[in-house]
Amino acid sequence: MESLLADPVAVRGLMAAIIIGAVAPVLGCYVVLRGMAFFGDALAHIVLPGVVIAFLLGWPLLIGALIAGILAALLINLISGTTTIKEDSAIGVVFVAAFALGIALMSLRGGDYGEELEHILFGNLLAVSQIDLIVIALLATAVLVFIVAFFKELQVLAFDQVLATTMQLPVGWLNNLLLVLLAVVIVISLSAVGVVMVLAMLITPASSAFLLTRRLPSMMIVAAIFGVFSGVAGLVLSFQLGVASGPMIVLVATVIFGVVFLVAPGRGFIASRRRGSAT
Amino acid sequence: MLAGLMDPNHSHDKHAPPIRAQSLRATYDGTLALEDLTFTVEAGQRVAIVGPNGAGKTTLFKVIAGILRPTGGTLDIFGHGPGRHICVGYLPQRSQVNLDFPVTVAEVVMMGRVREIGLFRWPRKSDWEKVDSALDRVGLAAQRDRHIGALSAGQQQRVYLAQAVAQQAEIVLLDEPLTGLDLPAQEAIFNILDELSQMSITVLIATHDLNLAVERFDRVMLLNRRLVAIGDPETAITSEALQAAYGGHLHVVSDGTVVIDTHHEGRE
Repeated sequence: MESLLADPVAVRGLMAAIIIGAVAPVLGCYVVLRGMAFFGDALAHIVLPGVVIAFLLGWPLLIGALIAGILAALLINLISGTTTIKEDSAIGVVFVAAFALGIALMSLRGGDYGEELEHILFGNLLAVSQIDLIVIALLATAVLVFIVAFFKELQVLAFDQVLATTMQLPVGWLNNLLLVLLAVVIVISLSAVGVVMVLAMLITPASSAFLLTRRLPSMMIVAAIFGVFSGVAGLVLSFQLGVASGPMIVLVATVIFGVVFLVAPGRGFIASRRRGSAT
Repeated sequence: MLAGLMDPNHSHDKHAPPIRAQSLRATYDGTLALEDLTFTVEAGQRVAIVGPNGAGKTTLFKVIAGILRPTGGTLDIFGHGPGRHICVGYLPQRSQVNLDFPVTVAEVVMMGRVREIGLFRWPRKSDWEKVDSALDRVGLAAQRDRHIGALSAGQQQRVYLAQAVAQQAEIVLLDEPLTGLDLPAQEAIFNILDELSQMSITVLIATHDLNLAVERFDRVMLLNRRLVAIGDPETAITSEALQAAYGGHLHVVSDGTVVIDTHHEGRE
């Protein structure tokens, strides 16, 4: 642990893990409550070609990912609103194609692209540069500001879309806002867990918090605590065990979920079983 | 759009009738659901909308609530077209609400005040007082901090009525609010509707239950895509009108009792 803090590269990784662990699960609460997990996973994969193009052009990867993510989020919203194809199929078609395009582009470059691709796919907190860290911190702050500023409206929309419409809230605008925030969070989470495991940062801590809380603000706080703990513990364990950091973070978050799922009062597995056998 | 969000009451004429429809037409899912509807509802009236499945009751509510645009004719809410009012409270059928959502009873009621509070502001003390007094009115003050999912179906309906009260709704639309409730729970809802009438809130309720409509409402509207009849229960409900609204599902038993066969009726 001490040697970890003595290494500036590790410290940057740790700070990134804390920021991402705190912010992604907060937005993830809406992903869980609105049943957008598949959408979130798809969006994470769609980001890949943007990252690869940025990489090939020598731009900061975050910029490419951000542009691709926001474009894709708005595009999916448009497509699913205008065809008779079921939304999940439309998303599936788009996201696998985008992912394939990303990997094809990467292989165009020739030579040994394996390591860079691996970082994008699975994350590498130790590759976070000073500039990356600043961008992550700024974007994370912006996401939190929006979540707080539109809390009332987003809560109504997540709870009861009919009510939101009846009250003449700008439902379409709020939905797009949520999609853009989702794209931004996915992008900043890439460095921690990569394209393939971003979903875990969004939904695993939020799902654990869902089982433990009865109010949205407390769900968000508990999710953030689980997220930060998973990030820090995952990184420390990855050092000690010599395992990659991304998977370790996801595994810690999953172990927390497993424990909560079993023992959560009221909503957990054991409590449900007890209720079932009592009646 | 954001300008409308800042000033929710910019088109609201207090002296105009709460609802006035003229040759109103609306389509729902591509089929014509309402045709040539002309009627006026005055402030504080309690109107039961009765008709067979597919008569357009839910469509009419959606148009009044501003969720669905009319395809023809006009509908004025307090003198202005729908879709820009926050004075309409709409309780959809057996609300498709997610009862696992982490939210307390008081917070659900507070959602009725979101527009009034406005963007970038948090509920103040006066907002919470309005929420508490609304909960008091529906007899749920003791439940304010409970999780919404912990309440019975009847109590949940009352939470939504409290939400409409907190919203300071002047028109409340209830779509089949009594379905699946036991008699005491139904009675509790009626007591609240009485209170709403005293606050001169206009209440429209869609129901399959003709007897209930006749017994408990000032006005009855018989709907079957077109307006069949509207008026006092005594004058509006004639056997011709019933025949026109229900057609083959109507049976007049020998002693004059009217029986409507609603067996195959499900959700609208």
